[in-house]
Amino acid sequence: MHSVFRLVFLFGLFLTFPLFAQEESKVYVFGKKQPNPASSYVLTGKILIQSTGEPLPGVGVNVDGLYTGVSTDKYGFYYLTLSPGPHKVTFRHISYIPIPTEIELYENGVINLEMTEKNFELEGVVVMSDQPDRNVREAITGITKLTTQELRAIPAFLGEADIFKGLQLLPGVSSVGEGTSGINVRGAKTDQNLILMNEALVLSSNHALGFLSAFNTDVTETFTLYKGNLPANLGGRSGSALNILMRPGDMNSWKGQVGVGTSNGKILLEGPLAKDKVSIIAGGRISNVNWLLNQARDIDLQNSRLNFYDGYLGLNWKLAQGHTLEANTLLTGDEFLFSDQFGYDWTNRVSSLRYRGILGENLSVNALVADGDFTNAFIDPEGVEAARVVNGMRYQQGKLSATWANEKLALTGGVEAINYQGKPERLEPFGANSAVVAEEIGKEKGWEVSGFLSMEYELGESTGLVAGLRYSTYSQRGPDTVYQYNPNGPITSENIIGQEVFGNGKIASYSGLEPRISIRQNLNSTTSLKVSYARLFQYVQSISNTFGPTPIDLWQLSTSYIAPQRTDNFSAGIFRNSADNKWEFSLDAFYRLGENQVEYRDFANIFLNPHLETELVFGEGKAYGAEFMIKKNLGVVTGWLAYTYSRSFFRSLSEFVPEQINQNEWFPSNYDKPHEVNFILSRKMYPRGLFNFSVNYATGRPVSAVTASYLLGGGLVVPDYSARNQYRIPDYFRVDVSYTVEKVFSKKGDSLNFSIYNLLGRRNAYSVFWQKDSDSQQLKPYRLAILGAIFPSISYSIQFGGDHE
Amino acid sequence: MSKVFRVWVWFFVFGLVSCVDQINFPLEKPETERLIVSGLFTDLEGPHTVFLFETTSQARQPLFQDGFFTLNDRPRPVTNAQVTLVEENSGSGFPFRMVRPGEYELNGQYAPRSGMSFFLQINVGGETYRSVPQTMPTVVGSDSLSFSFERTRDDDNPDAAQVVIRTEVTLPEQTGGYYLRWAVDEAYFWDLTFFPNPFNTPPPNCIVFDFPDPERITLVNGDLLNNPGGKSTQVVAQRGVDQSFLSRHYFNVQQLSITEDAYRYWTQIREVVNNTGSVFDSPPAPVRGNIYNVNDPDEVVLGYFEVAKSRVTRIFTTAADVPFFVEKACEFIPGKRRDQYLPTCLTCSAFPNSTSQFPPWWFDE
Repeated sequence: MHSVFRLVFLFGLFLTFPLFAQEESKVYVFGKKQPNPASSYVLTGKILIQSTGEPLPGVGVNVDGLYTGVSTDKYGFYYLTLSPGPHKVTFRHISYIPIPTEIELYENGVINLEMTEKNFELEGVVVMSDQPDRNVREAITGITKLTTQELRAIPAFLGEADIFKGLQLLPGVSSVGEGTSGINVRGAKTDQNLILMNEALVLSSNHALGFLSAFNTDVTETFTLYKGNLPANLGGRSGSALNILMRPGDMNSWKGQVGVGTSNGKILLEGPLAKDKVSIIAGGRISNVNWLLNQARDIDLQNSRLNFYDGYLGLNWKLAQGHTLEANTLLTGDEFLFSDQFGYDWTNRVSSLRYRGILGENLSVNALVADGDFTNAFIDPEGVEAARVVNGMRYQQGKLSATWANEKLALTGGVEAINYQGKPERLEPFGANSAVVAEEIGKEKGWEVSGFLSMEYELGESTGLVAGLRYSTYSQRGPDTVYQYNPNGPITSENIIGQEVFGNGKIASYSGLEPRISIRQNLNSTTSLKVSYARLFQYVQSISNTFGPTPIDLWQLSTSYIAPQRTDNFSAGIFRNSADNKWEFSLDAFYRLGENQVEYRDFANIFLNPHLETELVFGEGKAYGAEFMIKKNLGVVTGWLAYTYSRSFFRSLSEFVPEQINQNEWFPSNYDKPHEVNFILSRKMYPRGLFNFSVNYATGRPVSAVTASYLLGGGLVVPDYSARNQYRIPDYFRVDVSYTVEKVFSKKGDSLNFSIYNLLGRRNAYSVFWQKDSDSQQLKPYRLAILGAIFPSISYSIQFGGDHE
Repeated sequence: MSKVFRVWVWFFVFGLVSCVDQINFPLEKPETERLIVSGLFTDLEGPHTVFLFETTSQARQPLFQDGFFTLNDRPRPVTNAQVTLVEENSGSGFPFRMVRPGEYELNGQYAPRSGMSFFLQINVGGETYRSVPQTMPTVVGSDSLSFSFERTRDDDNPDAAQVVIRTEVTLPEQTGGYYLRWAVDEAYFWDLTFFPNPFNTPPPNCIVFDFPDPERITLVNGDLLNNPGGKSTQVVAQRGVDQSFLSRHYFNVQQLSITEDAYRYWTQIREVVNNTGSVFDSPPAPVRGNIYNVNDPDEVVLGYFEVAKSRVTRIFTTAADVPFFVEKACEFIPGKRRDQYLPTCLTCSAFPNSTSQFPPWWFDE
């Protein structure tokens, strides 16, 4: 444990480091040393604000390192008595630069001072946007916007700012657990969250089992999350949408940044190819975590390998005033091999070309073409069946929209089309010992085409309306083989009665109208009521037979048997800001009904399966809850406290047992966490430091549990499990801290971050499982904590180039 | 800086290896207990064995029963059952007899021809249970066994000694259409403590039967392979080295050619038995076997009755093969009181399954 104390001490040392880097003390001498001095003398004076000359109340007077309890009054006056002799007296105020003094007091003394306001160089978790009253004025409920700067202020695992970890601190956003990819928003599945990069669709968004996002925050600008009430120009997922705006390169000067942290190294380069005309930005990260695995005592971990990388290239070309062309490519990949037992690798590329043009005083257009290529593979490296299974998805996306706007009204209309092509799923032998026959199974193809019209209208000072309509249609295209099943029985592989081979052309099609509406009614200038409704369709889903999403989940298009998911999302909330927008309060309730929701059957075999419908259960879903948030936007200390009550359920609807889960009763989904509390606090440390503290609490997620055990063959103890998700793992609780300081070694700009993830070292359960106890030969419950200790980390980055310091 | 570096490494490694610990997990008690059937019938001479047990889930928490608090949730043996193997076409029945509580045996070869179909019938407590009929598979591969003694990590012991049993499998001479499972049991001679006595009479022979690595369920799906008669090597058992390796220690490897249904069942059993709650594990679920109540098909019956073509191969090790020092846990030490010895050093019956008679194949090799 000495190491723990050393670490805490070091952390504390770094925390206080900038406090030492202050100006020298002023020296005051009052009187001369006398042989028989009085027992005490008075020290008094007045403190003014330097810039205005006004008195400054609330300045604390510290003597010899201790706060005296004396502060300046509303006139800036202070008064205290001190023993004769030398003293160190420091005047402190939370928003002003402290003034240290050294005094020799042999008679009553007066010190009048002027204090200068602190100019913090780092912002806390709440950065005031250009619309400080957005909370009240925005018509659509459930929109959350985070900036890269805010993300960096949030304590992060391995010190790496991360969009998904940041979003999970917001109300209504959670995940299945540590080590799973993606986020669950308002009780929706991870794959019901639309992820866009500059409006281009992204299918895979995580590194290293979900510990890190695939989006390098060095090249991102803002993140906008729509929690269920999507405007009509967004669609294709039935839960939520996250639009990630990438940062354009600097148009004026070349500059860059290199950094190294506990988990990865990274580099960033940006600058003008033609000044004020064309800029480029390139950023990349590569993992360096294998040295940690090599330190492990466990041989399996020593023999494991984890590598990941991501690279982003963005070109921004100002064609003319008001006309911009952007070209972006994001390339990400992971490779993981756990000893000789299991492995996976995947790569994802998204390239897009986007034109944005202002065609007149009121008219602008936006055109996008994108190409995405996602490939993943998993490896079972042992035995005669050692094999590698490869699958993926290729897609092309096009979107054209135009907006006409004046002061009162904005109309946006457009069309969007996505051509999905599931990559054939391949089974390949792995290693010399494998006798597996190579096999390939074709996957589905489909077109999703949508048209949309959206209107934002200010009905007056106190009423705002956002209404829209989206019409989406989807066609499954051939060639493909469609299996036929006995119409009087469940859809199972045993009930296949034939198959129909389709050539090119349409196999199945679906379409539907998606109305969206949000209304805001201001009760006064600082309070508003909002209600929203949105219908959403989803034609592609990620199929998984694990607790939560994994990097190797299969993207599956809608087919003749897999109907598109449909949700109806309702929300209503009250939003209030303080008069100066320093504080925000919100209470937002939501309700979601879903049709054609997808769950897996027990022991589903989802890979290399030409008839995936035999492994799935279709039914209805419902989610409801409320989000409460209190947020402090301004000041030296910022942050928020959020509480979410959120439920999420599923119910199968079939009359046939193989297509049922829990006898068609409602049961909680894997990510149903009724209570969640998030607290984050940022404290700016003068002049270039930022201290952050966050607390997370969540109800444990549902699991199935062992209700009996039995022996097979006389020696094998087998657990018999309950119905699905009838129990819960223990609750989750985590505290993180971080400290960031800038311009430590380089005035050009550098950043040093210390963070401690899971400060209390709690062994939060990811799952609970039962294993045979070697002594009693009975099954005992065990908890798996994926991050079961405290995780300190350090990262450093230094900037170079640029026009000015 | 190097010290700080070491601290981080320490923390990280601590986190990586200390993630699993036992917890309390309160459970509700199911309303009814369930019958457990586990049986294997092969084309060989036998004995063919069926285990009949009943779950004891209601006793999971301490219960005051018959004057005692009990925390025993081990399945209880079912006695007084009539267990019969039935050949489906002829309707001939071959009764099993109970040799130990809950353990029923049938000796003899009852599947002389390929293509014969069998099911199990159990009559107990006024209810009749049957297994879904299965046809005896027609092909099976062969095994060539080898062993190696190795060092491995075992919990806190970074240098634990283990023996690894491998088989070089010769696959059946056909492409696809077969499913293989390996079942490994062990038999070893156990040296009981030889206490000095006036007649210098040694302790009786003690032959112990056990399962060296029951959680390892080795399966092959022939439909995935294209290598008729091909060879492949795989591990079928791993076991720690102890005093049982001071004498002859047999590993009996049974290659079973099973039906597709049985293969699917064992695949599911492997998933629930080896579930460690990891990110890639499928959420566990109840596994349903092939036994049903004739009068009440909704009654849940646990377990499986398997009809399999089988080939048995044996290998044994002796003390000369073991490259490690093996502690003689039962060696007589002057001055050590009798009650200070392990129970298994004093009497062979301390083992759940043991005998003083050598099995007939013991000296064949």
